[in-house]
Amino acid sequence: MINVISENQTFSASRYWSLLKRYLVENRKSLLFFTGVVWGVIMLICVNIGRFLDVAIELSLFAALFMVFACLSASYMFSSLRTKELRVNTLMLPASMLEKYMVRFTVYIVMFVPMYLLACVAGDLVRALVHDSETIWSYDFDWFLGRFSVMSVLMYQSLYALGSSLWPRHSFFKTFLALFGLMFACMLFFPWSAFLWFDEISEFGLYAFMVSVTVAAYVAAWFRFRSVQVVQRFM
Amino acid sequence: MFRIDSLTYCYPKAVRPVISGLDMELKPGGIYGLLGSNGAGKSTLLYLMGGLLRPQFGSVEFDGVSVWSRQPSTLADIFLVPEEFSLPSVRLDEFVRVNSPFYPRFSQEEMERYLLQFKLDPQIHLGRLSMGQKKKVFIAFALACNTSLLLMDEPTNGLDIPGKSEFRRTLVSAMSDERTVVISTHQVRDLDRVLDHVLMMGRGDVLINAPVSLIQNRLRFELMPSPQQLSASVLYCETVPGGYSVVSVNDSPDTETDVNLESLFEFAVSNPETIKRILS
Repeated sequence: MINVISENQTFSASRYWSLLKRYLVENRKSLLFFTGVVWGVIMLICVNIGRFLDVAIELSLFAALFMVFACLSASYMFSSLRTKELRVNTLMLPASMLEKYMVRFTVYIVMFVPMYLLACVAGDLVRALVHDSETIWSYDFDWFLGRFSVMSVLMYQSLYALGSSLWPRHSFFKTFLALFGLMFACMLFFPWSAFLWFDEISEFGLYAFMVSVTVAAYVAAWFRFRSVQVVQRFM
Repeated sequence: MFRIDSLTYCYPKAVRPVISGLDMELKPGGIYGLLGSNGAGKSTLLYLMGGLLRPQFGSVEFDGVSVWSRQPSTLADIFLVPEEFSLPSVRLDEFVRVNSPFYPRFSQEEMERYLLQFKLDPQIHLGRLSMGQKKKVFIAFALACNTSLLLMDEPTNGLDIPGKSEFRRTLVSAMSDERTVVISTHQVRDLDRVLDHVLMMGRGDVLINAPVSLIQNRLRFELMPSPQQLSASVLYCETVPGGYSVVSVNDSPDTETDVNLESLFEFAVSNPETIKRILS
């Protein structure tokens, strides 16, 4: 039993762990379904078209799927706010809003990464066994491209997490439209920015920009989540 | 224990506030019936009491702490049974195992007793229950958490006739001096015998905030077969099957009649100043 009275009211490790356990138990069907979809897609690709993939193409495919699935996972981060009944359930639970936020961050952002990596490793091993070819570990990685890809995914993932806090229903679709609209507006009103991007910004500047956007998105999502009410003006 | 000061709340896009300048205090112990017409603000008041809505003006405090701050220690002492709710598709024992740690006074023994009173098997799977059964399970869990404040929005909606009777018995058996229950309901006949205190809302304000004993002391509620029997002290009269439902001043405080909440409500809405004067 958690001693709610004496524990810190902002964040308590014991309450966080109890909340995480509760979230995993009560949402295990949807979480297992999502995991099954990710593993299923990767296995399908590796088994059915693995003979046509060399390691470089396979890595690119894994990176592209990582982007898609990471954003999809992040778009579920605040799905428990999509109906009034679920909002009541979430808000009335005796835990701080920070703990509730961190549990969702843990499940949909942090835990997604090892789940996906395991799926890729397993898929690659299956491909290597079925099609008698090399595994990705024999590949000479381009670490700059690897770091850039990972940072891009983390940045877009954070934007989808922010989108989930703004639109808990149909979040992935709405966030995609919003980002597409934003990029289109940038191209329309600042057409020179596309040429500026790769030529003028240093590697450090690029990473600084991505990290800033990522942090800002998660902080904005936190403020949005913290102020949620059972009746929301825009959902 | 529970204090509301100058509370005002207006829904987005609404023309006028649904609750305006409300002052109220709930003392520990007792079952409060929160009554009122549609749109009077009953559910809104429950949400404000649970910290689910932020008031535009005023404060809602539980033991001196603002409920809007949503502190875990405050939430651990408040439980809300909403009119519509969702339960996860897990076994009941799993649900209890992962949710009870958040309520320090949760009692497994009481949970089993309430399930027995509701004639429910403790080994059930929540995903396979009907809406009425889920409601009974949720109410049993809410009572077993032993929070100081229990808020219930239309708890008898969806319960069958035996279920309503079981609910009344279970609620009364769960009451203590430290527990306060606020029940928002239209189904006054389901609960009129268990209420200790009446909170009646109208036009964003509280028309009646009085114990049932005081209402019985100040007013008489009678069913007259014919209008000829009406006396000069009649405050309100309406035609009902079987005669006339009458609300009058109780000239004999030693004798009391059962409160007819429906007639009381109609009288309070049509004569708000009179009812406030009588019950002050």
